[in-house]
Amino acid sequence: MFKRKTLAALTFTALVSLTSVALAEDATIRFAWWGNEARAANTLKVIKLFEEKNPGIKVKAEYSGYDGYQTRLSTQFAGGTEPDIMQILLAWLPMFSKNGDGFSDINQFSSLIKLDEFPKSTLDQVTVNGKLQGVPIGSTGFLFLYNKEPWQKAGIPYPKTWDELFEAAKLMQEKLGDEYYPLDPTTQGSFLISLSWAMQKYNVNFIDANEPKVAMSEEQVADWLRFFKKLENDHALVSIKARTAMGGASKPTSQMPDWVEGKWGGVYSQDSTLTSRADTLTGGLNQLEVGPYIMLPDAKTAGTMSRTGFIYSISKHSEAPEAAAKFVNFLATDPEAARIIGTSRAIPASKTQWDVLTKEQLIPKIQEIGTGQIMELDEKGLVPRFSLYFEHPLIYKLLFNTFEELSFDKTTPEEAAPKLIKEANRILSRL
Amino acid sequence: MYESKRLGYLFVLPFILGILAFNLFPFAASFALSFTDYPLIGAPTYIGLENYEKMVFDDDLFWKSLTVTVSFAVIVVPARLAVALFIAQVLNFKLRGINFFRAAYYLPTILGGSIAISVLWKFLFQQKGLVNIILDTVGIDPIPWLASERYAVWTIVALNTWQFGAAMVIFLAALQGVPKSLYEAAEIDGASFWQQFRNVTLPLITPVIFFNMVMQIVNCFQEFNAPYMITEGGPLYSTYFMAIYIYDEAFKYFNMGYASALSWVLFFLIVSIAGVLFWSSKYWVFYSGEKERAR
Amino acid sequence: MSSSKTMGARPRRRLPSSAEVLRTQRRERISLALRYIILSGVGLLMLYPLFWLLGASFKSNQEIFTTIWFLPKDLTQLLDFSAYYNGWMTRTEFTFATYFLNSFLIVVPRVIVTLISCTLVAYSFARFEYPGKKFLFSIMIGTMLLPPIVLRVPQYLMFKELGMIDTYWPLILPSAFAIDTFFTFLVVQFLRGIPRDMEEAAIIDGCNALQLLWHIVVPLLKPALISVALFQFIWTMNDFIGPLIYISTVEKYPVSLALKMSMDVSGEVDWANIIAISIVALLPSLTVFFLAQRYFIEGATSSGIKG
Repeated sequence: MFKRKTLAALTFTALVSLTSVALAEDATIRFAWWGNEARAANTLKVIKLFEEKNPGIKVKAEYSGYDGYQTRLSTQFAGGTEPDIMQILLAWLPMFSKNGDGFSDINQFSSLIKLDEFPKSTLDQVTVNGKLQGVPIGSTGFLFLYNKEPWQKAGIPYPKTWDELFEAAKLMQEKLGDEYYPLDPTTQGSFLISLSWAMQKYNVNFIDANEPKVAMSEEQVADWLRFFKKLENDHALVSIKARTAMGGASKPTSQMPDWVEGKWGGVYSQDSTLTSRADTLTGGLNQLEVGPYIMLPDAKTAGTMSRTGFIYSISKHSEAPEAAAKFVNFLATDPEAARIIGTSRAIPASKTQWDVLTKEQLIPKIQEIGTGQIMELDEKGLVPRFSLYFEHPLIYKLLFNTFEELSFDKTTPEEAAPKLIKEANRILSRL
Repeated sequence: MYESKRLGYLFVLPFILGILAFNLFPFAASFALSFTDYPLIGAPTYIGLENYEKMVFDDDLFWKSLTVTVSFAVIVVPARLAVALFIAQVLNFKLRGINFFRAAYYLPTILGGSIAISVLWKFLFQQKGLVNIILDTVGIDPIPWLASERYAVWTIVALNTWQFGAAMVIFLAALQGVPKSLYEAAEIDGASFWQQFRNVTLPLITPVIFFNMVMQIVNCFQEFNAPYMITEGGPLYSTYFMAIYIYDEAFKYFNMGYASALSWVLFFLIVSIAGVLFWSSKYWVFYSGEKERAR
Repeated sequence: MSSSKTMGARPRRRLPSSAEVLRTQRRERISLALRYIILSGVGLLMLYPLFWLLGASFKSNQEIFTTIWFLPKDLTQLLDFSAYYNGWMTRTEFTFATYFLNSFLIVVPRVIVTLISCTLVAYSFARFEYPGKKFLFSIMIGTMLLPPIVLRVPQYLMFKELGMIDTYWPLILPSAFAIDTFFTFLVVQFLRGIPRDMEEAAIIDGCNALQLLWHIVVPLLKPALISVALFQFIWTMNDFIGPLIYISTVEKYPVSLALKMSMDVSGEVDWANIIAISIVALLPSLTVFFLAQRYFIEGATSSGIKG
């Protein structure tokens, strides 16, 4: 009986979709995203505006918290029932769309989506096998974000070079105490900040940006790991071990009591999340400042990882892909949409939207400075390309384990380097 | 009437239908998937015993998480049972305000795995947390609970023991079934509190002790929430329980085939433990409602 | 008399002199006081974290992450219930009133069908003899032993074929067929521990099977069935992964899903709101527990008569 019902339903939907293709108007599209309530509230307003402007198209919002979002989405994928439009983390791309056939190719909709709004380098990051997997929402890069308080108390300027960072670490510890550190690396920061140095020194990335294999030599990797140990040992970074003891290696900086109490001078943070660091600070955003990007003299690259944080992808099974494309275009490029959303959906990648937000001062000053710094580095050609696989969860797991073992003195840089390369190559060869 | 086979089948029919309708396919499917490479997106490919071979010969993490899980169960199952039974016994008074105490002792269990608990627990066990402050007042050096391979698992054990409420409620319900006249008789004989407990209470609630034991073992082997929220499996995989490993493989790394294989190995492990328990129950569990064993 | 008759007390029955009576009374009073002290002491240990949570719902973000004392530094903050208001209203289309209603739409039917199906099946397992019973029983135990996470995808595919995605059916229907075997097993264990004398008497009086079940067995099982209802209520209220996978329309979200949305930490977070609403989310379960536990005491008196 159920079979017959589904069959009837199938024929019905088939008929409906036939007519909808014919009319290209009446359609309901499902849009799934994760995020907090502010994001949901603003997005719902944009949806309403879009529906007013496009009678016939209904957008059904399927929003939820981040926790579990990916589990639900992968289950839906297995059943072929994923929403028409979905917010996807760039790091998931190799899994959801291994060969570029997991999502609709956005290039198909180039008449509906203004792709020239986005920098070509950003679109390249989202392209798999020549197929554009989604529309990027804002680049986000790592930078040095500081809490003024301890620096002023100790009378130290923000470091511009790595030597100055070590100097600052020493001074801060001497003047203020053992619990004071210039920088909290956060979880991924612990390997990214040292990688940044290694890339400045050798101008080569860990994983080749063009093909899935490790590009660094064993000696270079060992040097990277040694530098990380030096950062921890010289009190320049809150160590992974110390962080773990304070509530878990991946506990957000803003929840760390020592951060709240102003004992940590800064955090190696993505520009897209910098405002949330002020959540628990008494002075709020006023207490934060973006420092110069720490560089080696004569470096050819800054080594900061900057890429689009997440993308809007369109389902291959969508019955109304044109309507979906229209909506994505509105959400990601329209100036009015930008005014409503502000920065609650990250910093927009679209030029029009970014201009609206900055000109009309719809984003916090510090956000503009932070994002501006990454853009400037990019214009100078100092932002390196990263392989799409660098953020693959298996690679991240491997990197995190290696650095955790280093921090806990379970291994040495010399011992870990060949192992890291071998394991990474093994994982990459399977992808 | 209890000899009627027809009635017996009639009453068990819903379960038979349910198994056929809702369990047969998922169980069969997950078993079949354990012999495949299934990246969730796209179709599964048959790879024979490869998953199982990898697990046994080429996966340190499997052995690590198995060890973690088993040693956790060895600690928590008796701890939880003892605490739950003891507290249930204590709370089985008709004392003024006893309702309040029962609720108080059950509250932590209701809280379950809410995010508030994860904030709170980290707070208790962090370097400068409440636990270390208390230890300090009695002269014990602070322990880096969450950053210690040795101690991290104890934060999970503590949470699990704190949330003993489910077992406690079942024990409470069982204690209600013990006829009062038996205690009165024991009292007249001059039996002490401990003797009453041993000779009257304990034998009569063995079916429920057995139940709680089986369930606690199952729960421990499938423990997910606490380590996921509090230690995230770390540090250095010291709290990486099987259930987390399975979840990660299935939904984080999209190795559904391997996750299924891990699950089935875990399944057969628990089955064999449960088998031993059921076999041993013949010797120590007393069913007053059972024909052949009734007095 | 009532307190001395409880099973924790241990009066010795000898022929007492009046001095001895006094001494016993004093001893009893001391032991009562001791009991309260232990109960409250352990109770405090159990409850302190919850006091802290309660206090935290009145604190500022920075205070939440830096203070261990449960009261806010500034006690006037205790008069400010805005965290509760904000948490309840949310900033999206629906308030928590919708989510609570949805939760009840799932929980109430599920508890009812669980009670019925588990009692029937457990009755069959515990009292009847028929070929294949042992096999079915081991299947029942077996279904609990496979980590449920790997069943999710096949189950989803199955309910998709049945056209039940984005409805509450996948969350309720299996319970109507005693698939939550934890509960069946629980009732079986209780029933096996209850002597058959009363049932045998009723059979001689000419009761049919259903009458027997309803009038004799169910009253005897009351404490067990109350625990089943209690657990099913609380666990279904807290269940996150089930609704997560099957329900995609926000309007149909139960509390557990909506909570994760309030708690999403991507972006700026007001922790007091999060903690406040998670406290509110506990209230139904807490109420049900208070209501249920009265029956544990009733159970005591009725089974006392029978013994």
